Amino acid sequence: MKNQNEVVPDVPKRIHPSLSKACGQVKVPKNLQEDSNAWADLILSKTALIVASAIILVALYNLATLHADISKKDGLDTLTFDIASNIDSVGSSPSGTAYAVKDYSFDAYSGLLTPEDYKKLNISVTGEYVACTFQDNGRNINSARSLSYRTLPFSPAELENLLTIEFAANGTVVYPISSLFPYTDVTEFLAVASAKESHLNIDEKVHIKKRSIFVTDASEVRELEYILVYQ
Amino acid sequence: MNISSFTSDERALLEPNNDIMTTALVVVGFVVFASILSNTYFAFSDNSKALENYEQAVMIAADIASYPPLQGSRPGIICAKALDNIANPLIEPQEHYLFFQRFSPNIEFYVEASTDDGSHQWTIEQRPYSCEGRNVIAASVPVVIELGSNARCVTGTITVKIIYQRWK
Repeated sequence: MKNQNEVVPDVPKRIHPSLSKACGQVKVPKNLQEDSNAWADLILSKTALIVASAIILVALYNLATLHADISKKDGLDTLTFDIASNIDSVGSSPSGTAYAVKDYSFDAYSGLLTPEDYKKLNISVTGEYVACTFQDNGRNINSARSLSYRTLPFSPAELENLLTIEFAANGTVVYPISSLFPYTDVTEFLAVASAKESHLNIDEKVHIKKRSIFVTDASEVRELEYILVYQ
Repeated sequence: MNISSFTSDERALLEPNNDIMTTALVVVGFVVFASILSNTYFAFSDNSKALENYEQAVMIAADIASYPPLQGSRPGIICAKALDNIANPLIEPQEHYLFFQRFSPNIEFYVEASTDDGSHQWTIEQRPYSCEGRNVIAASVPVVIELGSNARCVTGTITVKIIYQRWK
C-alpha cells in the first residue's frame, strides 16, 4: 500500500522526437505535448498500415483479374490470327489451284476459351479486317486483324447478283464488266459493299475462295482478284 | 561499423516503426515485381506482333516471286523485262496497277528486287512511302532472275518491306 505522504519523483515526460521537433516550430497544445501515451502515433501508423495493406490487396486482385483478361485476349487473338491467316493463305495461292479454295472450321479453337465464352463469340469479317469479340462481365474483349488481300464477305452467287444489278454483267470471263482503267467504278463499288460486317456462325464451316472479277475496256480483258469469305 | 552497436543498442528508435518499414518494403517489392511483369509482357507482345508482321511479309514475298506476269521463260524464274515494266508505272500502268490491286489498301509496302552481284536493282512501289517514325519489317526470298534476251540467269532476291506505325 502506498503512503499518501510519499513523494513521487518528478519523472521527465518523454515526448516523441518528431513531436518535440515539431514543437519547436509549431505551437502544439500543451495537453498533446505532455501526453506520453503515443496514441496519435499508434493510430497514424496503424491507419497507414491498413491503407497500405488495402492498396496492396486491391493491386493483387487487379493483377489476377488482368491476368485472366490477358489469357482470354490471347485466346481471342489466336483465333483471329488463324482466321486471317487462312484467308491470306488463300489469297497468296495461284488462282485455279486447289489451294485457292479452303473450308475453315472453328472446332479446333473451342479449347482456348471457356465453353461459355465460346458460345458468346461474335466473329465478323469485312473487306478490311477480321474481328472477334465477346462480352465478359459486362466488358467487351476485342481482337482484330487486318487482311493482306482484298476480301469480300459475299458468296459467289451474292457477288454475281451485286455486280449484275450494278453493272449489268456478273464479272465472269463470259460476261466481263465494261470498265475503263483504272477500274475505279468497280473497285470503289466493291470497297463500299464490303465495308459492311458479315457475322460468321461458329457452328458452320467458313468457305474461303479466290475469285477473279473480269473487266474489259473493249480492247482487252483484265482480271481483278478478290477473296470471298462466306458460309 | 561494429555489429554490436546494433545488438547492444536498447534505445529502440526503429522498433516502434517496424511494421511501417516492413509494409514499405512490401510495397516497393510489389511495385518492382509489377513493373518487371508488365515490361516482360509488353516485350513479349511487341515480339509477337513483329513475328506476325514478318510472317505476313514472307507470305507476300513468296506470292510476288510466283506472280504469273513476272515469270520468265520457265516457271520459277523471274523475268527482268517484266520487272522493268512493273517497276515503272509510266511504261505499263495497267501491269503496275494490277500488281498492287490484289493487296489490301491498308497495307503499305514496297518491293525491292536485286541480283546478288548488285548489278541490277528494281524498286516497285505503289506510291512514295515515308519511313520516318515508323517501323519497317522486311522479308526476302531467293529467286533466279532472267536477264535480257540472251537468257542469262543470275541469282537474286525479292525483298518485301512493310511499313507500320511505330509500336507504343
